[in-house]
Amino acid sequence: MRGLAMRSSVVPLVILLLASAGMTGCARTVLDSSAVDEWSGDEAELEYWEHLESQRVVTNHDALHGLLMLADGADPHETYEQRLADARERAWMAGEAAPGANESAAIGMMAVAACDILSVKGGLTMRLFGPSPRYCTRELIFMDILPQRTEHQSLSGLEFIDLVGRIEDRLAEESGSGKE
Amino acid sequence: MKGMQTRCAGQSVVVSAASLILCAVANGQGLLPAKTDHKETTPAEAAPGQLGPRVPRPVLALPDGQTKRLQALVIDVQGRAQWRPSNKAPWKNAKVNDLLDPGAGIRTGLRSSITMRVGKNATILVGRSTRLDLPQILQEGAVLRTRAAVRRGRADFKVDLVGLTNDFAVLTPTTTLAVRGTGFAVKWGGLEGVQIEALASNVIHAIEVRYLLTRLRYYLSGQAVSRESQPDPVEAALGKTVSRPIAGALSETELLAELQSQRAVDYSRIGLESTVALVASFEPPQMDEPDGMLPQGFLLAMLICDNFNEFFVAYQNVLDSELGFNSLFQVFQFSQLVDEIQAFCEQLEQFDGDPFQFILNQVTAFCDTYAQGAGHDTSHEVELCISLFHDLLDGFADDGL
Repeated sequence: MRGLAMRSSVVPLVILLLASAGMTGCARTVLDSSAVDEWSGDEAELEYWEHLESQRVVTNHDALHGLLMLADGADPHETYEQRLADARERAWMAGEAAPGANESAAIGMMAVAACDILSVKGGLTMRLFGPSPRYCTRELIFMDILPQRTEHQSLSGLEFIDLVGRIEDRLAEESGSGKE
Repeated sequence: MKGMQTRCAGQSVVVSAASLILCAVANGQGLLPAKTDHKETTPAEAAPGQLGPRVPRPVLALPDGQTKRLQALVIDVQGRAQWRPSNKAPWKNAKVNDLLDPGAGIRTGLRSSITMRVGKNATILVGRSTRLDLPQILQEGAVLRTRAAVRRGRADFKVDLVGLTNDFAVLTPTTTLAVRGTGFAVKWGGLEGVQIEALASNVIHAIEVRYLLTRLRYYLSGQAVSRESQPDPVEAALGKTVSRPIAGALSETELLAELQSQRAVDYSRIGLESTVALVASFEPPQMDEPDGMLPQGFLLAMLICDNFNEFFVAYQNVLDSELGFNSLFQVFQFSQLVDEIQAFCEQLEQFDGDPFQFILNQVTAFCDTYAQGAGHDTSHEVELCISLFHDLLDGFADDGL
């Protein structure tokens, strides 16, 4: 009887723990603000990278600003909504869901942007169904631009700067202006 | 030769002739006698009475115990690059010839780079999205001691053997690397930490040579001219005598099309409508039309064609004195104008239309491209260029008619 009573008190606790783990496990980290909120103009580019360096995760807003600067050499937009609309136009993001500006950016979204910037054609699946977060992430890992990661993970500010630098190096190599 | 005492890579040794040569070749430097007078010399310094520079000599050591703080010199900047003298100082935009003291920090943006000659023995090319600090640059006796810290990004280090001991260390957040007398690139990023790559030696050499070429001195004699915008007197003389050669793979048709497009004048862009109207309504004084047989435009064209050489020599001189020929492009454009009008003058009788208007169009187009070559205050330059032509024609009309 005593064992049964003990079991009956443990089972709800385990269920509660599993439920709480399941609920928080799917949520993304949200920061109070993004670096681009303060440092958004082209002239503030160096300050933006400097502040991003110390951020524990890169947010959607920061990621879009950095990737747009990489793609075009400048980011003319002023708000997150404008950047999001531009990203949708470039097919960096699918669907109508709008991720939060200060929510941590998923590697998958950044990988799709990188595939677009680098004009990666990919393998059979990508050629048949177009670039997707999962397959673009795998392509970047294959190209040695990303280490082993999955599309749902996030990057720290320092990692994002490194990713952007690696994409820029690859662009320079492909255009023939890379280092020896 | 055996037993001769020499210094090789900072070490005093007694060696044979064969090893002396080997030592010199291996280090890429000349032989340096052990006796030193501690006087620093510059590589291109020429002895009195000696023509041309001497063979470059290695850097000499300071007396034992003596320390000298060295600096870094910016020799190339591409894109956005900034530096600050210390951690608490504000950032400032980097430009060529900036001098950085030990303790300086450097940062670059996307598609940007900055190249520095650091101390007496190293060149550093700081690549894209990089943060780099230079905590130490000094010479201690016979040792050149440098510390460079790569916080993120990429930097290429070329460390030369200059006859002293190199103590050059590259610090990253995870490793410390020592360079004795070679080169490599260090990348440090959040994804995979430190990476060592081959040095972009050709890029660095090209930047070094380009910087040195901008520091050339020109010695003038006779009629030679050197300007800030066109420093080489040989180039200026060449432009004035034989004109610029046309390089490239353009066919004659393509070249003509190119020249025509260069001459397309957008009057509204440069606000020239009034000037064009003024010149078009030009009426030289004391000019009587002979019984209406020849139109005024034809007479003006004849005036220019009959005095062709004098007129264009005078126009060239007045342009040179008032505005100056600052580039080969401008000289080339002028010679093209002269050629075109000369060809036109040879067929003046057959020309159907207003010949003076044709000449005026050529001059206006020339003035537009000429002013673009000057590169500043374009509308003023164009107006002056046309009004000089106007005044000159006025003077010729006074004298000739």
